[in-house]
Amino acid sequence: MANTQALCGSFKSEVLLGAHQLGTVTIVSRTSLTAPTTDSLKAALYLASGSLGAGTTAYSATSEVSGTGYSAGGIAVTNATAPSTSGTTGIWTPSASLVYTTVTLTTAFDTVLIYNSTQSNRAIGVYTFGSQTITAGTFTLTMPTNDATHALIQLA
Amino acid sequence: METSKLAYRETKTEDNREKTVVTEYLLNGKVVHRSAHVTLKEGIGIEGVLGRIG
Repeated sequence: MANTQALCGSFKSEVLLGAHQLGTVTIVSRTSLTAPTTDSLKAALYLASGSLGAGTTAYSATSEVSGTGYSAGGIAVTNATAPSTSGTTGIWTPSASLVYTTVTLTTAFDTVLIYNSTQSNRAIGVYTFGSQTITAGTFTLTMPTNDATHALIQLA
Repeated sequence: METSKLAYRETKTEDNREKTVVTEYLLNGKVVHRSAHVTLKEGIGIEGVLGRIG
């Protein structure tokens, strides 16, 4: 047996859980320091003409879709499944589809931003898909399987 | 709206990143309802890189 240099799998999921604090950061106060409640996440849709990406740091209304039935900032993300480890990969996926019900979005959109609405709207991930428009209908975004190769966030 | 005049159209597309089903209702050739259901096949992977000591 030999030792192997590695970033520990447990650390990866614990980063997603907020268990480690390796530097100072200003956060919105949580009700408990030892057993903080889960932050609330939201999902906002963006026009295909937008420029979101790795440089996106927080939710912004710039390039966000607008139309009947859609509220700026998007919808709440259902987060009933805590981050976990699959093998040595830290994983997390929303526990339900994102559903924008009875909306009219006539300008093409192709992006959803998942962000932390509890912590000053800090950005988590930018996900793109085929460009869509919706007319008096529903836009549903179903999440991938929550495993090491498909989860919405994979820290490998 | 006279629903008997509505035409229904369903379009399915799939690639390695997503599966999409678009349903439309048209009245006299004009789209009066359009819904889309996109199923993402995978999220974003980040590889943690460990530095070396010495």
